[in-house]
Amino acid sequence: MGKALKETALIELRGISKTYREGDARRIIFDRLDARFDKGEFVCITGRSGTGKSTLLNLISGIDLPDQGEIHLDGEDMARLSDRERTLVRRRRIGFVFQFFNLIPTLTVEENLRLPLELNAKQGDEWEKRVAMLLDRVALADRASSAPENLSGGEQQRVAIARALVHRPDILLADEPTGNLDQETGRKVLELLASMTRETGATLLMATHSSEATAYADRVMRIRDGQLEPAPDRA
Amino acid sequence: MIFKPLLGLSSARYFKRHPWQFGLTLLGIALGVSVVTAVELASQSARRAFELSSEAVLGRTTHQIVGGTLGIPERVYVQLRMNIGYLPAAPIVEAPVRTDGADRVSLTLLGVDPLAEPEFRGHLGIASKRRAQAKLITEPMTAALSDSTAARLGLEPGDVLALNINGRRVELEIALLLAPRTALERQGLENVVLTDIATAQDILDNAGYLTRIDLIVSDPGGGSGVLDRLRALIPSGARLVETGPRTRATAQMTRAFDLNLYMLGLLALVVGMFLIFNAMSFSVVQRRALIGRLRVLGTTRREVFFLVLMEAAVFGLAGAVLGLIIGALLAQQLLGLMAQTINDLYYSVQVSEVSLSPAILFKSLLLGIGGALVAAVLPAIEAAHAPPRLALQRHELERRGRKLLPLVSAGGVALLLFSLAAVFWPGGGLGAAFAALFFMVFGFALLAPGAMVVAMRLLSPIAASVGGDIASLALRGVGRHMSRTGVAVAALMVAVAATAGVAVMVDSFRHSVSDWLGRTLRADIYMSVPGVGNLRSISPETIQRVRNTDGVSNLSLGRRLTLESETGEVEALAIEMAEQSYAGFKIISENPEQAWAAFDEENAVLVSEPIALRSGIAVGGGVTLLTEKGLLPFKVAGIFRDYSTDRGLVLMSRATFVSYWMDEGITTIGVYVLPGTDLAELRSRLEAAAGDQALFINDAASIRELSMEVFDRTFTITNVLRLLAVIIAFVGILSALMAIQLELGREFAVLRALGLTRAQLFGIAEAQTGVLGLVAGLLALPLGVLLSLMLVEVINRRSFGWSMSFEVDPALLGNALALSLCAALLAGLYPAYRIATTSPAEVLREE
Repeated sequence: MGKALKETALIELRGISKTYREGDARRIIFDRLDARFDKGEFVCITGRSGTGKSTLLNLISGIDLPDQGEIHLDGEDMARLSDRERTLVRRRRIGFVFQFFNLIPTLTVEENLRLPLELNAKQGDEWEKRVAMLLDRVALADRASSAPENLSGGEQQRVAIARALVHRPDILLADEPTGNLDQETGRKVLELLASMTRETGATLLMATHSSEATAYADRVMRIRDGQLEPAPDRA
Repeated sequence: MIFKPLLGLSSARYFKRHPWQFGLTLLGIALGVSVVTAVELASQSARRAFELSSEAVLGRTTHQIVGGTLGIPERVYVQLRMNIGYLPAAPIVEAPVRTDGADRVSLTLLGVDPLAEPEFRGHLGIASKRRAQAKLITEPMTAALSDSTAARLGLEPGDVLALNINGRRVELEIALLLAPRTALERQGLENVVLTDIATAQDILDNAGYLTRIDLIVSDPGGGSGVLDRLRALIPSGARLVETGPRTRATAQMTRAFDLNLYMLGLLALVVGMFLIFNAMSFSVVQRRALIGRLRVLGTTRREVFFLVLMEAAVFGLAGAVLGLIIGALLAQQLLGLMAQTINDLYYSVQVSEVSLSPAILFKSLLLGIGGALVAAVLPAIEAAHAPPRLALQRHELERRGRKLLPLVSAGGVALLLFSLAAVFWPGGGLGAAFAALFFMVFGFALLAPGAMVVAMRLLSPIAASVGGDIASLALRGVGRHMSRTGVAVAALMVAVAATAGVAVMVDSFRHSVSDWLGRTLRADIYMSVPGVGNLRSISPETIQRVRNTDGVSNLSLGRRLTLESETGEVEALAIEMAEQSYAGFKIISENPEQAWAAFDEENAVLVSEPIALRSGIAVGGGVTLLTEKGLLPFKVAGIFRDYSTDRGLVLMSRATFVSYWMDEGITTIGVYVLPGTDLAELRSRLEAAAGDQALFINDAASIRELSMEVFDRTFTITNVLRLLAVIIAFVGILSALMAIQLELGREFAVLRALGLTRAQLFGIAEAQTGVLGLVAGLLALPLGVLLSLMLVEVINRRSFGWSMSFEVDPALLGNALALSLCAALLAGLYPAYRIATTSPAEVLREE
């Protein structure tokens, strides 16, 4: 299925190195890492805690910068862009889903969905309908005016998924999206995330510990010793 | 578009969720703005009232003939009428008077020629009431009042108005009431007793003399040469002046006084700015996760930066509007104090209403918004540079703050150096002095966080050995949250230092004035003519009787009056000194003996410090005064200390005065008493010696007491402003402590869960605020002393021309320290209570 959706490389990482300072020592996260992710792919990134799953997503989104190497999004090197340019790329092309939901607590459910549209100056009936459609799709139309703090964890994550997709990004980055949910709720969230992403044709990169999550993916990659390699059971 | 409505909505909801933070920030800005607005509104209202009165009193007058120690001889008016074709001219007799009775209401007696008036002041409204007008002219001892003044005094036509003129009761019949048609007319007639010129002369016992002659010279630059002909006509002791510059010069007399109050108001606003800085930076720190989320979602740094500035602008606008309302109310209260001071020290002004000037309101609005924006720049930068990660940890922020600490401290030192440079800037005036003052305040504020860290290091071991682990824990908490506590300490320090600085300055000033009074009032008893102006004098017979009175050893005779100089009016004292009187004047220039010799023998004069400083006159230089022989230069033999007027005083020997002004009048007698004389009994004998002439007879002690009363009254307004600055700082520290309490909710909840009692938590929270107050107080002491030094040595000297001895009373510094400690402990009570009573389970669950 994944191969059928694959077109050209949307994201390409070339020779990425990244280290962190820990006290006086330096910890190597990536050592000349190469990787490519194609349009419409759903890739799970696995690995032990601290191996750099979140860092990889941060580098791709331009939140963090590599010490060395190139990160191409549709041929454009993120590492060469200014902070503002990277922010604008992130705003237009990327959606985020986090373990702790990270909704804006001072906005209602519906306003949280509208925020990426406002940042991207996307207004009008088409987008109004899209907000309503997505709220309906995540079964929260009746909670549109609620504050995030009044929702359950599963509900908050559904809002986060709708928010990540509302502005039709090319790329969806999900960092442990089920890590803070019980198994049943986690499963429902995964189904929703996978199906909605496929409907939009976006590329989904998901950092996860969950073996259940990998079942939905086209590819499963593992980070080990600073390199990205196919996970053994899906290789 | 930089502004995103949803981001704005998010901010609005954040502050709605933190009402105390929102409220205290608003209050901080509002109080700061209100103090500045109130001071400016009050001083402008007083000045405006004076200008309106002048405008109304002057009418269409363009020039005036003034001068002469007794005024202008009436014959000058007659000659003018006869010799200078048609020229509108109006004779005026004017003097300040009081009602006779307990109230002693201040009024202005204005004697006019009703027939000459219409061309000058048609608004006096006399012309329209012919019968009453005729009564005013034909019947002596009749007067007119405005309807509002009459209502205030409870008088109606036909009633008697009793005045106290130079100690005598004088009764005037109210012949008519005037109904002003405009605000200008109303102001012009406010507290004016209008009489015919002859009645005024009678009342003042100054027949044959006018205070001035008003003129309308419609074409002063024209070829008719009217002005030249006028100059040729007037006697040498009189002078032709333009009215505009003269009125402006009088209104300008309070400039330094106004400016000093305005700066004190600005200081309150600076303390308010710390509050905004504190609140905004706290809101940024508290929303660090939220801002991180927004950045991840694609909000640019610029958008975050402007979002925070926008919040500050909204705070500034709302706070400023609130401040304007409070300011207008406060101005009403300050107005009385200010008018009192202006009446005591400068000129007579009747003002009861604050005039709301749109320009001042707009300026205050801008000041509020501008202040809020300036204070929010750093927090906005901090917010914009928050990396788009989701959990920038608090300790990471504190670490960054500590890394910046040397830079912040270096900035503080740099500002102190700027301050020094501004003080010593060649030719730097009052502006440079105030710039130096503000550099110093900000410099110390930047040094506060570093000083606090050092203080914590020093105090920690002491706390641990005295109070054990819990005390140590409390102290470390203060140091660990330096980014918040540093600002709170800086705000409190500035307010306390300003209070201490002004207190030390006022105290030094008070001591200097008290010493000066002790030195100046050499005689045992003083006799003087009541009332003001140049008109009155004590008769030679009375002087002789006083001299011959039993128990009197010696007399000094003085004539205090206002003289015309080349640069406007100056106060002068012509004195025939007793042997003991010389020591009453402290000559601060070199060679006092030489100065006295020149004073006694060479017609030289001494000038007081303000004249020397303001006009740059040194010993050997000269002042030009209008004498009966025309404008003549007088050599300045010395400079002496005098606090009686900041306009400056020219001291000359009576012999000099008599020979140049042909006036032998005496207004004050200093009576030196033989040893062993009973002062109370002597006073009765002196009263008898004064005979019919009503004289004030006071001993030196009561004059000193009265003078110090006036001094203290002058500084009442300063004390009010100081108090307001402390209240703002109190709000600041309360806001900072509430912020810390909110930040540390989880930490305290864990401590509760570990078994600390409520009392222990309350104790920790109060100990922390106590330490903050102590550190702020200790830091405020050097700043306070430096501020007072600056006020005494630079600001006062450049504002008023006074030097004074600088004295620091340790009790005042102790008070400042206690004030800081009490303010902090009081402000900490509610946060400590909240910490102690909040359920730990609730806090831990919320987290």
